[in-house]
Amino acid sequence: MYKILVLATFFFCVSCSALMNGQSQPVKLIDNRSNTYMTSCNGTAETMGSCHQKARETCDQGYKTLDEKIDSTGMFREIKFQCK
Amino acid sequence: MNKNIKLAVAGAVLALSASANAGIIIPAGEWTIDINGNVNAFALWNKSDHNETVTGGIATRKDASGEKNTQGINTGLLPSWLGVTGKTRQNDLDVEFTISLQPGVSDNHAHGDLNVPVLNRQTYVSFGDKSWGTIKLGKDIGIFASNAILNDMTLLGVGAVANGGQFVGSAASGVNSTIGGIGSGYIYAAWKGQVAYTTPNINGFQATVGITNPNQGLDLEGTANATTALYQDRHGLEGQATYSFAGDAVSGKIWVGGASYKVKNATTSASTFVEHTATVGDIGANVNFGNIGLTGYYYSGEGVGTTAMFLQSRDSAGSKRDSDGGYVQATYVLPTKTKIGLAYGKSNLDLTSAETSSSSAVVAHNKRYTVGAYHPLTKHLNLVAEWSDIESEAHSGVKNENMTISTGAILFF
Repeated sequence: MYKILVLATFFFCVSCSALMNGQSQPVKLIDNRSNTYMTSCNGTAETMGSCHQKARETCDQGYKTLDEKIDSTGMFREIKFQCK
Repeated sequence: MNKNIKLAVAGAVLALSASANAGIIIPAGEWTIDINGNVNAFALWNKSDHNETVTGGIATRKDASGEKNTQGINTGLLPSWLGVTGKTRQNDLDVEFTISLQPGVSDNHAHGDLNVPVLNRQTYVSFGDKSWGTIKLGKDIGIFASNAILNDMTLLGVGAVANGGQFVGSAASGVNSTIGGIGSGYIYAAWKGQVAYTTPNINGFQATVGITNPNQGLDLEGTANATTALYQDRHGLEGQATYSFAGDAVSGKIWVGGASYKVKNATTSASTFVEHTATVGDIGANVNFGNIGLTGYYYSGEGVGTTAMFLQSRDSAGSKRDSDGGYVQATYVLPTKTKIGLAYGKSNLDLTSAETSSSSAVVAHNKRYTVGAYHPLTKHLNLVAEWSDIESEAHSGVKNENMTISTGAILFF
């Protein structure tokens, strides 16, 4: 019983750790010279608002949206942006 | 710059060859092949409170024995998905094709593999250029009301589980999808054969107009002899215009759309035919600031029915019923990156002047409350938990109600 309790506590803590540290989709630098980036906000936990929020956090002086794509299934979204 | 973002950017610099597309990218000569899709599955617990006849209602009912609870395993509003897209640039044109198939994750046949067909929602080719726009030919999501479902937070979750107001057992498993917010705030855009033109993106403004297959769903109108076998006068016409914006603090999108169909069908007599023009318009907005996202949507139409295009759109004499509805939705992203959301939606269907409301079993409204939590366990795997409450009330005053709790995961690639 004690071992089961320890194991249950272990798995509970591991689960909590994963739930406390969600993973965002990364911002990718695609052109160093023009300071152009791309990020996706696919799935249900992120939205197009998340894409723009990541752009804001990447560019201290603001950004310009170069391209915005949403597919017709609702699964995939991405933006390409350039820091000012 | 935020520390996490800096790290992500640094990682991305080391992997410049990675594609921004979420799919699995395969270079193939002149073509780039993108294999994409999702696998999702949910455990569902559903409770129905009544067993009334509400024609066109989406709330589930108790079963024939009076049992109110049922459980199941099912895909959510979006079925699992396997799509193949090919892209190339030829003779100054961007050329693309997409074919996709949608399997479910449960089947109530004894063998578990015979009752539920694999769906085919997309088969299209498109070509164009950023300078003049894009032409698409084939089957893809309908143009009208597409933004309503694409901004519904339950799209990659569960929402309502109803299956046309059937008994509970048929709703929680053995179907390829639940219905999310369809019918409780918007009409399903559906998957339609179409020839559509999309303008270039001009400072955030973009519009799509198209002709669509006019022969879909005509047997659902509500008249006794409704059929899809009659010749229709013209194609359906659908259009949508969107304006996307992004500022220092706020980003979002505003859209308007519309559809027009000329519909001919039989009434109570198989030799009496009535023709009318069905029209509908909608407007919506999605605004995001900080960790908050807000969405509002409204539609109004004549002769388009409710839930799906033409469902319960006419009385027995063939006269048009009016309908309207909409939804509001608020989401907030917690520091754990978990998105939580609250949504309320309602779809109304009026009777014609020839119908008597006190005795009519036709649905007056379907409405829904949903509370959801959506967590990015990894960048490709989301956990989902939702609670939804659905009510379908007939014009006579009787109603069905059900509550659905679901938890599951969706992996997209």
